[in-house]
Amino acid sequence: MQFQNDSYRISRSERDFLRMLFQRSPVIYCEFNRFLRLSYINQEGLSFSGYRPEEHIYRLADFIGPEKSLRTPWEEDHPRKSFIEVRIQSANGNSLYLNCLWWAIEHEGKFDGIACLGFDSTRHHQMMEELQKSNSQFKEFAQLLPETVFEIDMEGNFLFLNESSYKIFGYTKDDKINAFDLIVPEDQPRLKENIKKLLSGEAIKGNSYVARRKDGSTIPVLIYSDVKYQDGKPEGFRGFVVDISAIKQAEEALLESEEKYRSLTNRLPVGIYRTSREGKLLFANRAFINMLGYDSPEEIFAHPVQDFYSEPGEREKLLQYHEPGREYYQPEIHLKRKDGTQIIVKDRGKVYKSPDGQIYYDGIIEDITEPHQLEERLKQAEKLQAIGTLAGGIAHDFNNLILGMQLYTEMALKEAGNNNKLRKNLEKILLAQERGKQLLQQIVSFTNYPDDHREDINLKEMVSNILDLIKDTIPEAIDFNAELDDCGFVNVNPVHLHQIIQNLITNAIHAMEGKGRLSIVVRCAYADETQVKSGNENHPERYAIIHVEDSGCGISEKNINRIFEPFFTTKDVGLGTGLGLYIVHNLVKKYNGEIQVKSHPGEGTIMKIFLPLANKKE
Amino acid sequence: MKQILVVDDEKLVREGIQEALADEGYAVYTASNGNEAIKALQVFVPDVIITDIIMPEADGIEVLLHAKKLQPRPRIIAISGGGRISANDHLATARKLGADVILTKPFSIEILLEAIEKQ
Repeated sequence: MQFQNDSYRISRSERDFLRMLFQRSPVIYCEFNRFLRLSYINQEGLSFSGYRPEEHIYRLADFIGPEKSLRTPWEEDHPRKSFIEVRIQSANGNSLYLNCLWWAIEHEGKFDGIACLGFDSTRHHQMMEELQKSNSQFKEFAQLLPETVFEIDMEGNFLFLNESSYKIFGYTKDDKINAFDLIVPEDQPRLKENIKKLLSGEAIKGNSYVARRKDGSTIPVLIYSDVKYQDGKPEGFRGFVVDISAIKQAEEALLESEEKYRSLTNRLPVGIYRTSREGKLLFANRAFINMLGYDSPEEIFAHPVQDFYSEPGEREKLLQYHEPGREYYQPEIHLKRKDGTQIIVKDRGKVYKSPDGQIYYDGIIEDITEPHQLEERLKQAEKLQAIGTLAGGIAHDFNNLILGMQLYTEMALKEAGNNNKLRKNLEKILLAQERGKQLLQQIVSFTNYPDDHREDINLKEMVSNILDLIKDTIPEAIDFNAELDDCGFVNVNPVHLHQIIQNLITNAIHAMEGKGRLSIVVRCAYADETQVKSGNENHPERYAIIHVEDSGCGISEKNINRIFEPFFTTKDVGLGTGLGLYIVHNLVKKYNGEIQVKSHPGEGTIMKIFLPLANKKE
Repeated sequence: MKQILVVDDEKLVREGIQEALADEGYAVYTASNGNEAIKALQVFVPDVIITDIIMPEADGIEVLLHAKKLQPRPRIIAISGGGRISANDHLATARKLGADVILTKPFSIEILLEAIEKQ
């Protein structure tokens, strides 16, 4: 007996052989006729199904699955399954299942029945049924979920897709969808990457992608999936997809709000910070970083905050505050910038305790260096003013005393006649009185106005008034002449203007020793004409020039560079404080003006004061 | 001989000016405050009045105002020694009210003489 190459087709005689072979074997052997009715079952099969040999068996068995699978040996266009499933109804009514190897019996070229070699697969069948049931349970459950639940094969074809998916993605059951096409092209590489990871056994959490609906619109999604294995081989994937549009929106809103707050904190002109108790800088906005002269957050965070304090021990003052919610305020702290320069800041903040118990100092620092400096200067000015006021209080009496001394000394001098020694001594007393007068004048000049008081003054008028007050004290022997042009207004403290003119005239009178020519001229000019160093070279400024010329002894070359020095004087010892021109120079500079001297010994002196004119609209 | 009235609340100044001017040949009378000065002016009219501006009890301005009404009008020299620049405000006022000369203390005898004789 020879089995043919198509070893699943057998002849009747081969069938008989098989029947005989398996008659008493411990495997189940059965046959079905060409009507697919059970025609023979061996002993083993009978006892398996619980029947006695005499009982009718032809209704016993059914083939599971479409009949086509049975006819395959005859119909070539279908691939043959090596196993077929047979269901046997047992004696006590249960269903028993056999997984069978089978042959097709051929007789005279026609299909004549099936011969089967079966193996008990009841258990397996039960398991499959349970699986089916659980599958359908699962599917029922999956249908209820509002999110997408899917099962796909390796190519992305859907084996299961719940109802919600269609709604979410806008497809109908009639549409042919491939799972991978639902992800936007930009995310495909990443998708492939993740699939590879899954297949290699790597456990990965949900991944976010951008998915595409039927109408082309996109939604951000999170996909959770796992590999489906059959007999140890990957067969597909299953999982679920969560629409995270809402989450994405919330994320974006959060980012936006974060950005808003970040840019806000960075725009604010105060330094905002957070430090730990130990002195680590944890947060600093742009203003804070700039205030301390650093270039980047990385740079500044590298420093412990103790580095920023000018005075050691200043930081400790802050540590006394440690109750959460406690506010602190330090009106004046000296800080050190990166380049070593000092700034003074106001520090205000609050102690914060984080959920994990850490204590932080959250606060703001405000640079008060400039206002502080101004305050200091103001205090200084106030002190001087107080001194001035004090001096002014006694000045009246002092001047009376000096006048008294001067009158009697002058009278004594007249009486001295030829007594040179006496004359000399008396003259010395006169010099001392002159000095006393000047000193008092200078101290007292700090009074009346705060140093920064300024007014718009008509220069011609003011100079005229000043001259009016002092002209009577100019000796008659001096030929005095004034020419005042109307140049407009200067913005100065009138007291200072008085001081300037008074000083210049006093100097001139002294230089002339009581006789000669003295002239004051006020005229107007433009910057380019006067070669004055103005703040902005390109802006033609208008200046007034106060021109004081005398025919006195002049200034020597070696002295001319020193005349503005404090305490420099060519006057005899005891006479003159040497402060007159120093004060004039300071005042002129204060008003952004200039002072020029032209002088030669024996040829007199010209003092030129340039004062910027105020752009006052009249 | 010119007659001069000197008004100042400081004795040293009063007497000093008096002596210095007497040496130069003037007839000098003194008053130590504005009231005294005005009383004196009701009795005689000097050629020159030298008066301090800031004084207790009717200051120099009042003397000045009174003096302006006299016939023949005396030469009025206003002096002040506050040392304060604001004293100059007083002197400026005095000028505006008719003082012929303004002198700030201390000044020399020479200047004073010039002020008296200046035309």
